[in-house]
Amino acid sequence: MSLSDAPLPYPAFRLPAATQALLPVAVFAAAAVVTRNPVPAIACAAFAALMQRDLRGAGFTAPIRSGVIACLFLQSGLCAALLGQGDVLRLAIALYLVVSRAVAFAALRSLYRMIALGLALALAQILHPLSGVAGALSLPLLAVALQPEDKRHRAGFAALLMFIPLVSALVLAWLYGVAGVTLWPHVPNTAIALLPSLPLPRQVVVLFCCAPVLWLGVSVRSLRNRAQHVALGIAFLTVLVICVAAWRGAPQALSTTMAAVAALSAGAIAAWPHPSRNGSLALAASALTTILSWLLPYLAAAVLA
Amino acid sequence: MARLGLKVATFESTTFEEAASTLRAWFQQRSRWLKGYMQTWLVHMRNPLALYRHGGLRGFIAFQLFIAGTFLSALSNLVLWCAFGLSFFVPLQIFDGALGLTLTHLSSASLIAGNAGFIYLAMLGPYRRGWLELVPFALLAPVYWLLVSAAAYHGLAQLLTRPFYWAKTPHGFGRCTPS
Repeated sequence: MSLSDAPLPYPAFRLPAATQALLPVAVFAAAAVVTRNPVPAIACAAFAALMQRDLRGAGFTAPIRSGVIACLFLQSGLCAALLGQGDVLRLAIALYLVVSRAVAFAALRSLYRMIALGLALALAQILHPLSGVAGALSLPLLAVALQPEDKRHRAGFAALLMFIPLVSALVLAWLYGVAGVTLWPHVPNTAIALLPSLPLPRQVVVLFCCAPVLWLGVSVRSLRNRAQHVALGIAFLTVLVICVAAWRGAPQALSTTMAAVAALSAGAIAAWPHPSRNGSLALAASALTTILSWLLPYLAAAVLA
Repeated sequence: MARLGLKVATFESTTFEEAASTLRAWFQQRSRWLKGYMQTWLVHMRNPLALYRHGGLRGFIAFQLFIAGTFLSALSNLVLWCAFGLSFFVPLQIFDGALGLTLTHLSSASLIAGNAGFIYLAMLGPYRRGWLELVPFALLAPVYWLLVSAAAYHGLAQLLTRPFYWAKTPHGFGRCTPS
């Protein structure tokens, strides 16, 4: 046990429970001012509350939590989402749910985390089709969560993990086919011109460079754990799914993928080990991600021009 | 027991009773259980007012749901699955218009939610114990329900023809028997 992980000789300072609500309220107020619409503002507040809960559970201190969440909402993709793309915000929330539940499950393979992951995958299908597909494709990554003695029983593991997503897919298909309900009527909308448009291969390079949180998690030895590999894998698959969707003709903008990577980064931070020691690094990486998310797309566009 | 003012309680523990090891033994066991439910219901419902007086409204409703609900759901299962299967080939619309549509949606939702919930619970049990190899078998829950339904009809036939016959379940075939 390192010195920073040792228990404190005095009771840890904890903010009163009511103050935990301050951050979501602040996010709600800021989003309401920007969007002038209560629905995305409520979604943002819920997103912030969820992230705060996860980061708090991971052991990050209140200033670090606030900083990381503020950095996330200031990233270019989410700013673009707030300024007019409701579906991108839904995609970001859905991906955050999937990646945060997946890394939590990879870290500890408990029954409740299994159920939470299944529900997150089901909700991802409801919130956005891309997150549903990315979530479904990332399921094999969770094989890393299997203990060596359980690897003989992959079928049971897969059946349990895929059951809720499959049932929700069945329900969605039934709703669409029989009841005529469409959950995503506005998904194939056009992006607002907040970020420059880039060719797909350059988008991928930009996205990789804009995600220091993700690549630090797997490249720095002290941060590396199997949950980080799961997060990076889900991020890779998400970008792949979005690229394929764009190649197939869906009007996906750079802001969509930037928002997706922003959400995935936030989910990955909650799985960083030793939060007491790595809190400042998490904040620095989040801030760097935010700066790069604004700088690199324009830089790449300028280089291209 | 409830009519005598006694209560039944459960506590969290493991039942080490050996499960029926063959399909035939299992079928006879379920048939006996469901026949017992039917007989219990018939005995107590000979005088429903007395049952109501002893158990109160809550006890009366609980009795109907638990005792009658168990064998009625088993008996109706086969009929409903057959109707569902037939509906793919023959139009079985009994009600027209909005009522028919609402009933279709309600029954479809019930079919999906009921079966999915039952299968998932059956999956979580072995997972919690670390018996991952048993998890895929939970997907056979609809087949299990069909067999339970067949056992209920067998029990009903026995109730009418051999009311005092109780099939025994053979035990002692498991890999681990208590010494």
